[in-house]
Amino acid sequence: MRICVIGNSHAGAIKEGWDRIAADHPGVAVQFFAAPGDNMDGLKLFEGRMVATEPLLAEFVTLSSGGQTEIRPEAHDLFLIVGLGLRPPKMDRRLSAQVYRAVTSELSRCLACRVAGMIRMVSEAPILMLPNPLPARQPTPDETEGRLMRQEDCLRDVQSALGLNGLQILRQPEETLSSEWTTDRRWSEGSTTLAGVIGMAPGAMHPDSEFNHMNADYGALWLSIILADLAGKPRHSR
Amino acid sequence: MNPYQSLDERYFWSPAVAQKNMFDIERLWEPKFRIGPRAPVATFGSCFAQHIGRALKGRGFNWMDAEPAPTGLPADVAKTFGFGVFSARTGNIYTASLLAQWVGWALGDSAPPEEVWEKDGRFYDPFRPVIEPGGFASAQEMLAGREMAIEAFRKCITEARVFVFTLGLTESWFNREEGHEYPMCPGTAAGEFDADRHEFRNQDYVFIRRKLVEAIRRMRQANPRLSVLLTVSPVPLTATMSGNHVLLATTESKAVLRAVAGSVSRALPFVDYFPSYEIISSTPYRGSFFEPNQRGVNPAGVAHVMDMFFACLMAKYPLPVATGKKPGKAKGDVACEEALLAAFGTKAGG
Repeated sequence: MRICVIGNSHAGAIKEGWDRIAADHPGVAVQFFAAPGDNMDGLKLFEGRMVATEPLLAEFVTLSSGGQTEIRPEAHDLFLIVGLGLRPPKMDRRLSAQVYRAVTSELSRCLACRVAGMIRMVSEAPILMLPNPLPARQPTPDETEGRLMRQEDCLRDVQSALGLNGLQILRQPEETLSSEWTTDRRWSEGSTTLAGVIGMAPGAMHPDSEFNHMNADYGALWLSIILADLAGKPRHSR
Repeated sequence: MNPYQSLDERYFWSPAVAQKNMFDIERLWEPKFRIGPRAPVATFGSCFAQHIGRALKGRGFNWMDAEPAPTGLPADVAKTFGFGVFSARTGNIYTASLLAQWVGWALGDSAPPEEVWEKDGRFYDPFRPVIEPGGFASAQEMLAGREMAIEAFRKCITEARVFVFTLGLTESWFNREEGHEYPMCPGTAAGEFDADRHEFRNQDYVFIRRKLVEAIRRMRQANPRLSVLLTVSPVPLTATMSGNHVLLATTESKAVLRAVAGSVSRALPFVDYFPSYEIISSTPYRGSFFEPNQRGVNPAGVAHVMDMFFACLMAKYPLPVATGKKPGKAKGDVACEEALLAAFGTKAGG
């Protein structure tokens, strides 16, 4: 099984997690292509390959992949898109269907979805999408009072709007949540920056006040769930 | 010696106005109270209030967005749904009595009517007729949306330090049987006009003053720290039902609103008046701040009004917030429901 991970800074946790559990999965190879923020927007299709067209992106792609300068679709059995602006919106359930459609329509054009569309143009391999992790902070009253639409409904509708065969948007693992819309703080503590993970700034950590990025435990849990699903084991992602 | 001899030159027409370039006319406003950069400011009212909210936000002030657009909705799309236009999705509140009506709903003094307008299977809010382009999917959805707006409006009353309200119209439409007021004549933007049920009222000074004071006092009961800043929209009427020529109707309407604003701001220590109306409409500015249709206010006018607002505020209460940020473009992007009237009148261009 050859897995290609394409993402932004949130892919850092997945990379750290993989480093921790790789030895337990000898039949799996994971290659990372990551760049912070929306730099991945510079990834373009060129003669069937996905090529970094911006110097900064090229630098991150090379560093994060261990020397690759482009993504060759035939080299991968599964694509995992991490973050890249796929963020379930918090919407009051009283908002109109029109507003909801406008939001999901916009979300289906986010960078993660554009990358998914690009992959599907050159590969039929399955695509899994991991949304940005939910922030690890105290929930707001809106989040606790059940006023908000369910995020899985929104993600399902975005998935449907994309209309790409073999694509699945996964919801954040239940055990990492402290509420419907927040991550338990322990999955965020000690998170490393993407530059730190890929060796551009070795060891660089997010500050303690950072609550949007997750740690190696989080990445390891995600990959364990995905690999178990792929192996047909009872542990299921949702 | 007479009392005029000791007055500052700003009290004399010749040095304060006639001898100055219009852009050099200054000190038109002496603020009664400080508006600090952290003080939550809510803005509601007629179309022109939108400029004040946007300018406050653009210059780093704490403009309240009590009903924000969902994350990820682009600003231009959000605006079509009435997000970020006023501090809640109330749509335009043109009259003092409409303000009192919203205050009553928000503070639980009265219940909003369950009246729903339906056309071709879509549902419209009589009190926010253009808030949802193409209407709501159901009456329930419309009522739920209104409930959110009322909640957000209540939050503005109870949490704002400054409530900016722009008086826009004296002409109004009421439900004759139930007494509630509509922001627009039924049958224009939405709904169906029924001469038996819908009644035109051109509000007079006494009625407007009473309603404005009623609304302000009720808001102060709910939030004793609240100050109110009144303005009068300089935008002429799109159309009039008064029976007078629209130019005369406009002049009379603005004069009444201006007089009420002046009277209330003098009577209540926590109420102030900012002269955006005069800056756009008075003779020294020679109509140069109006668009070619002589109704819409052009970007230069909006910018001059807001520059004057911040200059006067800084002069009286110096603020460490010179962010240098400027509000966004004004031209053509103000959501003005009243302008829709032009689409329903034969000669009421605007």
